[in-house]
Amino acid sequence: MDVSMETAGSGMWSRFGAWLDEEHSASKRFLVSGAIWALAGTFFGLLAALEYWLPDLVHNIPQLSFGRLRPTHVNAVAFGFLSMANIGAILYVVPELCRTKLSSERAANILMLAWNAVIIGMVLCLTNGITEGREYAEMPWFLDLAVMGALILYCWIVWSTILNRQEKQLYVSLWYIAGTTMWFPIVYLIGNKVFFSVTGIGDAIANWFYGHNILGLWFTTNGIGLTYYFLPKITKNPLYSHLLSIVGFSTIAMFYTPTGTHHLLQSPVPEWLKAVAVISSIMLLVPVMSVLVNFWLTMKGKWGMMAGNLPLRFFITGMWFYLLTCFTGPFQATRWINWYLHFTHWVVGHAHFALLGTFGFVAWGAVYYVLPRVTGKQWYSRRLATAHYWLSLVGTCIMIIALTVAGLIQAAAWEQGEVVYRGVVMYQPFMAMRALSGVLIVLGQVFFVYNVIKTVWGSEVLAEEPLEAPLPSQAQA
Amino acid sequence: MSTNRTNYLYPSIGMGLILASIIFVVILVPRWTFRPPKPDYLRDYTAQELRGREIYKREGCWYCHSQVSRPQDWDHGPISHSSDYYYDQYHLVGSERSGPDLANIGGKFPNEYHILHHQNPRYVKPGSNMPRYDYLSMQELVDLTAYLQSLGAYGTRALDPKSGEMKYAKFVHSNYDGKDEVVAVWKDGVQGREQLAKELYNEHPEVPYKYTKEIEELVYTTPKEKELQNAKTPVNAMVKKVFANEDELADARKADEFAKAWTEVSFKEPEVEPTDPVALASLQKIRQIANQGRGLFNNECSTCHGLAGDGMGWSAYSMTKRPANFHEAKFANYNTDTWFWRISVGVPGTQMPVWEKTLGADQRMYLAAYLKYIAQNGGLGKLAGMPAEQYGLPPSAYGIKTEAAASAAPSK
Repeated sequence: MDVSMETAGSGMWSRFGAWLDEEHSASKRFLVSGAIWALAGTFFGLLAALEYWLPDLVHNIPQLSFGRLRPTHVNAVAFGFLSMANIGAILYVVPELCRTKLSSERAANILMLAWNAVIIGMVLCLTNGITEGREYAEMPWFLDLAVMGALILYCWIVWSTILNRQEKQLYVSLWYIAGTTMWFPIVYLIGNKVFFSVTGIGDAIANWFYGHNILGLWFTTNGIGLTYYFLPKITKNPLYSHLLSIVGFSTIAMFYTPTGTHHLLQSPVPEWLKAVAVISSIMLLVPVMSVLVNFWLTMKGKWGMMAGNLPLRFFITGMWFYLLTCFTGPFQATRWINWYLHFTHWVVGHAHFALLGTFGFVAWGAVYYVLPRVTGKQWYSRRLATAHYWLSLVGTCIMIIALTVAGLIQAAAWEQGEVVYRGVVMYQPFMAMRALSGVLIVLGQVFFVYNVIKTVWGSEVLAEEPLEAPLPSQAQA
Repeated sequence: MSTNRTNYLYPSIGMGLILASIIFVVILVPRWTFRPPKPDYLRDYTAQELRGREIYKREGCWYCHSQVSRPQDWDHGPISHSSDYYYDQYHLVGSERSGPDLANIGGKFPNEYHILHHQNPRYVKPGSNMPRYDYLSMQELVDLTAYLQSLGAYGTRALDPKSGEMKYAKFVHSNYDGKDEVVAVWKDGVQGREQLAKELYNEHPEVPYKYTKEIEELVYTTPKEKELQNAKTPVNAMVKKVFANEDELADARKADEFAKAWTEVSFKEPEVEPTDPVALASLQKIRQIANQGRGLFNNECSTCHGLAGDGMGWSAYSMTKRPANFHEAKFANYNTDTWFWRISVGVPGTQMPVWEKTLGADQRMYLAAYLKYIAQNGGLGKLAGMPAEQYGLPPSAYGIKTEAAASAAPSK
């Protein structure tokens, strides 16, 4: 009996080991988790938007109070959806670019389990009011430690794969990805109180250093790194300029990192620090424009592919949003514009510009491109994917317009000396508009997740055009 | 294999150094050099207030309520100073303002108001979209209220009994525990709550505390401060309170002198900006105080008196007695006391409200300053560009060297 128990036990363990070691499984599972967290995260956002518009909709349920849903939404989409979809794509892209296998599929799968556990823990903690109360760094200390461990493990997986490479050169995507694995743990270390603690208003400086760099040295570098891979790969055009990619990469760490204090321009923090933040915010146009010019010129002659190729359409849409994000960003970080716009919904709109419009679309595109390649299956439905694209695009545009207009109303009302809450009454119709956009986006995610599940676990493929259809003219040839 | 590969060591070290140097500049240097001194006007949080602060953090209040009063803000009290955050273990500065800034909320409303407001914000602020916090226990609501009442000073300072110096009366109600009274009201159920809400709401949704002898007692507690109470009018006391915010006016006696002078001082803008720094500072102070009232005016008065103060607000057309046009010459002769009195008691026989029922004394003080300013200058004058001019200067830049200002400012 003992023996049979033992074999049963070891059989379970070996099956689990085999499950961990399946080739490409970590990438696939990361992408699927990312898709599911995209639905969950946007749903939290929708609920928060509805409560913002109809404050008596839900009450007496502390877990669903607006003040708790908002951080849950932000963390679920940032750490759940975007981070996991990015890592899933990176776990596919890095071995491809290195012409080798992932150094340890098992470690990557453990990372995937740990990451999901952290996000589930985060949702439970934040909805139950266990929070550190600092923007983007709400997770309590034990989850911070877990994230730190996960980031170090991720760094090791990426670097051990890169060091095993069969390819002489490191492509620009790998610079971004490998750099991120080293930079972001440092940023996370500074941003979370369990590692680096400052009291008083200085805490806000550390918080916003982290709060802005989670964007600059995590989502941007991962998303841009991936786009650097996907655009030439899909269009089969060579990258337009190696020099521009060097300029873009080497300036990103320089100009992105000091910008955090532009969130505190009218707060009592040192003026020189504000000056550094504003100048570097404007200088951000250098890495942004060098990257975008490089992308647009790489696309030369292949713009029509967007019609047939859905992943490419997602990437290009994301990069157009990136252009708009990074033009409004430096301009609203200048002192005079910030004077008018700070604390308004304009800034919330800007955050959705960057994280939903830009890196959300890049992450979706990455899922659509990578998932068939790591599962060896065709996408279940192109129509669902197209619906997902249009719902997300229209939803994002409506949301950004609503929040931007609401922000301008707030700013004008305050400038005229209106008390804050009367401004709330004025822009409430736009909050209804935002909730509507949330409905569209969540609906898009429902199609997305359904499509992902049918693709990964189902066996049928609807008789539609494939997701990466060639140009109509090429199809005839 | 490795010999074939391009060497990326030096570029990597270079990128690492860039990041390290930037972290050194924007994180470590401020960590070492930016240490706001321990302020003498502030005390540490009590255990109850800290419990309230935890609730404030836990419920995510700070996502919608910032805690920094900026130079361009009207109606949010004195501009925040870095030392104001001295006792904060973690910051709650916030990034968005869906609700009012709370940096100076302490003492602005009675405790009962806060508790009602948290139970259902729409009891006291129709149209508010703040969530209900009806799931908090009464103890939690009281703790939260204690924390809110501890924030800022709402423009008031009091004498420190020990040193005899003017200091922030941080949390005017600090020793007031409204718990029992509120619980008593709660026992009456919804009706009792709504009755209380009605009393507090009083037509205007913003319900500041009423300016009473009790409040004055709370603020001025020392024998030396009793002298201030004996001032002829509440205006005089309020002027002192308003001006006593500046560090340079820490000496109560000087504040008293200045307050006496200030009520009669002309608010007319000189043809040329004075070059004397003291006179300039005095002028800037006047503009700043007047500008504080501008927000209130636009909010509360402009529907009848018009944004320009010309009596042409859109409600004016429906009135049998037209609202006053402050550009008329006679208003230039009003001194601050007169304005304060007129605002406080209203105009019998017209629809001008009795503002002392709804506005705090210091709010009426700011309004009086603004009205005096526009009446004497025939319009907004230099206030039009006011926020811009304030920008980037530390609060002390608006301070006044008392004796010099009193003599330098032209008397009427």
